[in-house]
Amino acid sequence: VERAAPTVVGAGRSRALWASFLWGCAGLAVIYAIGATRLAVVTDLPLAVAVAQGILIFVLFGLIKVALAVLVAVAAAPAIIPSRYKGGRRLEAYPVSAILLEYTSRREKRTTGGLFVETQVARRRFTVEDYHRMAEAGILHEADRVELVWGEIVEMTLIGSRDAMCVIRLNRLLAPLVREDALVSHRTR
Amino acid sequence: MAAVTAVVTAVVAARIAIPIFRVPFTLQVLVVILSGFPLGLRYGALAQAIYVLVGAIGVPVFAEFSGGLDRVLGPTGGYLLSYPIAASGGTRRPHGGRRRS
Repeated sequence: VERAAPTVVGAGRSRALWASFLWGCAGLAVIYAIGATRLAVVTDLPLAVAVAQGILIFVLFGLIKVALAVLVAVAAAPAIIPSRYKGGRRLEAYPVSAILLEYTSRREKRTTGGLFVETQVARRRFTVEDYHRMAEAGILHEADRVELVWGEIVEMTLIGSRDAMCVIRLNRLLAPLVREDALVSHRTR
Repeated sequence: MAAVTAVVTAVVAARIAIPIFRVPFTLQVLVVILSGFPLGLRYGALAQAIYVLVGAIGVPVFAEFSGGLDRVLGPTGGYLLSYPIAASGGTRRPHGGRRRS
């Protein structure tokens, strides 16, 4: 499915910003926690002094830095995602978009204000009958590695190691159950 | 991209540093958090690990154009060591890290 460049809109945008900000704060907390602990251990400072010198005087600036980072990351999402994750195949791999997608899936998908706007084109989905008729008409050939998924004809993905292992295990599980009554075979292509 | 981010961290850290008490004020945190967003868990951590390793071997990439193992193991070394974790701490793998077959 071809996705358009992600757009962040309306209430979803502020929710996405806040969510990203919280994740950024988690990183900030890690820095200050480890940094101040190390400072206290090496300098033999009382913990309160180490916290004051290592965290408190920086925390406001730290939060501003996180906010800046989040603003840049969300603003740059439409520019970065298409160049790094072409075709939207690995869209979820971009952390900001993962956050946005998650929030999209929870609420916005049920309404019209989605964070991610996929290409809005009317699709006519093929039925199983259409699919078979295409084969009969010679449009699709037996050698074509395609399959009908939710009304769309897609290229079959290569069999990965996990997929292959799953088939092998199913084969081993099912074959003894049917014994002489049926043949169980893994797919050959 | 991880290497570029490490360089950006180094440039920002070395150029902009205001010493306050024992810990210098730098913009490293900004770059560290920012690097986690586009790079993700693995490469965000890798970028910052590269940065810390380069500094640890003596290249002056830390605040105030300093470098060396003593800096990493010194009082403010905890901040440096936390960067790889923080760069990934601000992000996460979607879907709980599961991969589709």
